[in-house]
Amino acid sequence: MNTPSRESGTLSTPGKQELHAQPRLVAESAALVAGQTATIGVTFKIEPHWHLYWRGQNTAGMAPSIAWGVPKGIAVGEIQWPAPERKLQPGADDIVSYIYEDQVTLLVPIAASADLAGSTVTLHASLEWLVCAEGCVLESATATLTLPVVPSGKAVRPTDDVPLFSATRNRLPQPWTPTSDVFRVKIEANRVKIDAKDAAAIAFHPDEAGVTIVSASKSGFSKSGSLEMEFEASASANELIGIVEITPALQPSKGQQSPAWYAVRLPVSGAAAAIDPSIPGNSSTVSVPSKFQ
Amino acid sequence: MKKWNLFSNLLCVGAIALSGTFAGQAMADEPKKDPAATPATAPADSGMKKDKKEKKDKKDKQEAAKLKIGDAAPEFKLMDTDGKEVKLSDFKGKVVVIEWFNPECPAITQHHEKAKTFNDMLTAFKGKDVVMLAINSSAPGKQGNGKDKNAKAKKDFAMEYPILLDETGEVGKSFGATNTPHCFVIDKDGKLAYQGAIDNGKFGKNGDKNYVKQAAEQLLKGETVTEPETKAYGCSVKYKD
Repeated sequence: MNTPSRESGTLSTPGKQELHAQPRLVAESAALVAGQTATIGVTFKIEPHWHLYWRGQNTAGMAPSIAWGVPKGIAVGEIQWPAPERKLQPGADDIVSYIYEDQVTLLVPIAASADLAGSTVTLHASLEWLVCAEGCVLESATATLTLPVVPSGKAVRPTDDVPLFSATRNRLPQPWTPTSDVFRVKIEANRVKIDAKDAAAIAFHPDEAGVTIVSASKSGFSKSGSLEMEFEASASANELIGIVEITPALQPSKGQQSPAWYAVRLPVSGAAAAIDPSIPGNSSTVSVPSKFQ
Repeated sequence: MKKWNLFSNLLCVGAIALSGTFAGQAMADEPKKDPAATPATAPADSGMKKDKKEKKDKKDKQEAAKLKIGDAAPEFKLMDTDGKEVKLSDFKGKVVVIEWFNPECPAITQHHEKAKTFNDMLTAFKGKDVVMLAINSSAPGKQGNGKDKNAKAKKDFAMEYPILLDETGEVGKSFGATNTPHCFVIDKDGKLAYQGAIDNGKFGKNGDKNYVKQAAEQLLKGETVTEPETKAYGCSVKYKD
């Protein structure tokens, strides 16, 4: 039997205390290809009833952070974050969280320079994350992943962790452009209105880097095809950035469809800035380092 | 019988509309002056349907009138861990610093154990007209709740200021406290002058600029608070479900 080779990430944790979220570095392919970009993942197995946070405007909570240690010739791209679940705290409806439960995999593009062909590289990720149930714990660990780098043109085998990648891609927000028919975004003064065709519900998950959505716990969700929100811009945050979640209207012929997610990024001021449909952390490209020094 | 039910329902609707209007006017004329307007003293006898609806109306009104910088800070009366009653109005004429507190929240231990952010601030304000208070809005059964637990934390953290217990969460909600630590600075006239984070750090990492200290110092000098509002970080307040 042709067993796919598996490069399992090893984990070192400070202290003996059991982690509520167990991270692991995972590869989609058993090797990197010299001169090309691949995707690796940081996957967290989360204890039941506990959760991690997306990089949203969480009332409390904080998204995981990753500090990479990689050899020369390796370039690491921005994290691609899957769409989170929107949760309100029972009894405190002004406390909103954008969370991941059970398991989450953050995808990271990684490029190997041509010079690395024939070598083996070890990637180190220093991870820090806040994991919460009712209470929160700040945890950290270092995860590593060792992969061979093969010359371009050579076939690479998939690993056992491929399903983690496909499951995550199903929840990655799709690119959206202002001319899209799925929904339109209208920004006037300090208000934004999202109108979708045939939607049973709309939610907006505001990204921490974007304008602040006022009372997002209440205004960020609508059980109709229309969502209106007020925002506060600042010098450092003058774009509407986030994920629009569209729950399609029930169609008896199709049954209940799962929501769809779109990455939105729009300037909110008069300045006619170029519209970039990608959200920070959702660009799937990273340039290949030109030279291995 | 049916007709009578309909009629009594109509009466209720009338009463709600009237009370709603009245509450709105009171708010607009004298915001937050009357402690009875805050939910801290909301009617306890809520057995009747009418009262429930009124409560909901009040809640909506309160949200609409979310506490803003310059608003009168809502009066409260709470017990500390020694069973001593503390009122906000006891400190009229002083700058009051309030820290929303939960001894089991790692963002609290970050500033009370690993660093002594709050104690250092108290030391810095010794002999000045500044009062510090901690308020814990953890509900019974929730993380950080309990008189003994908080009395122990006060001792362990060597806090020389009271921890007030707000188990119903009513004071926390009247301030709009969402995090621990969520900090509020009230000026000598009882008006809200700062709300937000303790510093420019984040969960797990202390900052190098203490917003609360800055606000209190500016108030003592009679200056305008330059950064009156920031985003609090830390745990969520463990209100009752």
